[in-house]
Amino acid sequence: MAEPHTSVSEATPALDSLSQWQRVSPIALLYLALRLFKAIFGNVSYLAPVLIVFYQGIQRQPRAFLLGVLVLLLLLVVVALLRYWAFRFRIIDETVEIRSGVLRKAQLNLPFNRIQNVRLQQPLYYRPTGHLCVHLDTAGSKVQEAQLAALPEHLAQQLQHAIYAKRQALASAGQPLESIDDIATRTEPAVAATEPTETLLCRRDIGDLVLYGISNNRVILALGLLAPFYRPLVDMLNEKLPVLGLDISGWFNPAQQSWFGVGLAVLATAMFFMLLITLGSIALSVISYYQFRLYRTQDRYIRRSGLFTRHEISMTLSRLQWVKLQQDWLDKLLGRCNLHYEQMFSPLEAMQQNAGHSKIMVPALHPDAAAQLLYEAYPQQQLAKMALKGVNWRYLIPSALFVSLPLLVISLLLIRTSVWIGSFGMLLSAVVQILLWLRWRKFGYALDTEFLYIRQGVIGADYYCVPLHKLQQLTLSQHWFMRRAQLQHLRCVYAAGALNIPYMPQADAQKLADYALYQAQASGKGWM
Amino acid sequence: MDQQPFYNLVLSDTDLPALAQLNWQPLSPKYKPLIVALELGWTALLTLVWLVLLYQPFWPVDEVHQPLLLFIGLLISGLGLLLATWDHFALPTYAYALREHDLSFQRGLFFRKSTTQPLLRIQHIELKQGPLDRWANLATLQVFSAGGAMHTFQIPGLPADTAQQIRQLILQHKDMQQHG
Repeated sequence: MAEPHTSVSEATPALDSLSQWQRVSPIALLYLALRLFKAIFGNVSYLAPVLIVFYQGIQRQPRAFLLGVLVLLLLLVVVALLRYWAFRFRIIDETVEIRSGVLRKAQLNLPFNRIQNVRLQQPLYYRPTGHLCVHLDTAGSKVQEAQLAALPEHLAQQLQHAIYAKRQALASAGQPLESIDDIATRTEPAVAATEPTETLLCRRDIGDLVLYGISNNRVILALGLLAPFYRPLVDMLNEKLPVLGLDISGWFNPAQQSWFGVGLAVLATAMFFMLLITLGSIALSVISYYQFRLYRTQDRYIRRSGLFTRHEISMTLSRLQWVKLQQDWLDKLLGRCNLHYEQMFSPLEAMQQNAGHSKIMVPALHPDAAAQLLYEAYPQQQLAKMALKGVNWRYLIPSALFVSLPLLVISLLLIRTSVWIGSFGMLLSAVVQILLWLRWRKFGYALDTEFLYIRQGVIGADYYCVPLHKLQQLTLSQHWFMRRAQLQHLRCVYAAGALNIPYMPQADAQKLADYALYQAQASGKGWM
Repeated sequence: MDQQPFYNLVLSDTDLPALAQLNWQPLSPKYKPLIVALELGWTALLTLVWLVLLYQPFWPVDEVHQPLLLFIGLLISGLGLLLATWDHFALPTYAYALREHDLSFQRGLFFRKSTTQPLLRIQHIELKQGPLDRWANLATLQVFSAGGAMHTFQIPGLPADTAQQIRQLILQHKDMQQHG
């Protein structure tokens, strides 16, 4: 293994300047301080009670509070300074070595071949000086392994290229590091330490992002997080609004207004909030996906985007588990869909904040463009041409029997005592059943030599295009009634999650299961 | 989109190894009696506890709480008995099957489930033996794949040496795939 990759450091002489122990650029101080700040104040929800106490404190003694804030900020800066001072690194012998820790010293040695992924991030304040923050992700450990908080742009990129080149060289040398399936042509991998060629696959402009913002109201989540502040907000509004000459509560008071007026006020308020939420959602979409570009190199997808902080995230082709085309009902109205390149999913990581940064999603695509991207990822797939098969109508029985029917019976009993509750229950029961009926109608699956296709959704639809050979595990199940009707549930477990096809004809389910297993076992292709 | 040659899946049912023809093996004959006895033992113990609580002379239970305690106690004991009865009938349906390239496990009385794990996708294996398992010479085989903790594949109640053999076989298979 000596010959191909000793050339890496020679090919990137600039990295030699990093072979001595050194600190990252001083601008990292700002980054470290802000990160500390975020770590403390990022989780507003659990700090809310403290803040409310504080709020009362401010009103009583504003000066003491100011002093407190100053001390806190000073403390923050000092800690950041110490951390910055303690953090030293060097890159030598194709290894990133890091020494860090103020009180608890730690040394980390990361050989290039253990680094799976290099994420680059450029916060707004790094842009004038041209620095990048480099995150080194390794396999195995869930904790974020290492980051070099600020490197000059060219060094960061060269480091990234050197690491990727090393991995490619290992892969092509037949090391069992990662399987090399899916990588179509591989001509001269060992000398690729120079800039790899990138092809631009897709770009998204502001217009697309606005559409994405409209159809994906993520602000509702933010509103949920702000819940602890509703009470003080309402109190404040109640105090302040009369000063402005607005009598809001009067609008909603039936004693002062006609029912029509009240209805109008409710409608207007609802519309106003919807508008606010949508605007917020659009803003979020633009902030995180501004100048969205999707590139492809020989063995990777690379996503770059961001208005304030620019992110670069990449993913090796072989890690791709499946492609999902997602079209919710609003997307459908707008004639767009989102394309997800899904890789290994772990619930633990999903809970962490940087979850979104490990995924590659292309927002608000025209269906044509989405089909093209899908074709690029999987040239063999036939999604557009496949006739999808539906699942058996018995899919509807459990929900009808255990949800809708009991609900209906209870409503019928209640309608004597309260017409409102009774009819509401009946309506609910009908809505539940109609939604499930729509879901049943939408459900579809198909199979060809290499792929499993699944469609599911209620009004919108998600299409999964899944290479069969990446299967991890498979479960067939049926209960007694299904056995009589010759039906089976099939669950296929992949590294990106589990896919279920309920109420399939037994013969189909078994055929699919046998074939999927055969693909996983006999194709000789790896899953990552 | 370019027109690609279309390969449709044409397979007669006999071409592929079929899951339907698996050769299911029962678990160790000691497993069911052990589990059922264990459940009955716990039920008896809990029953004893609530009976003692109810009728001990030292801190007499007042009249308000007496029926409540009785109800909860009966409920616990009833559920324990039900569980033991269920397992008495359900555990004999547990079975495993080993093929050259995969491992399957089947269970369920009313809802029959069979899970198949390709050996190639196994990340690591664990043999587990609790104190009772050791006494009865049983073991649980746990197999982890990249499908995540939610989809851990496990076979309980294997004779310890069979579990050991399966483990060896899986390790050998992995070895073959990587270096052979």
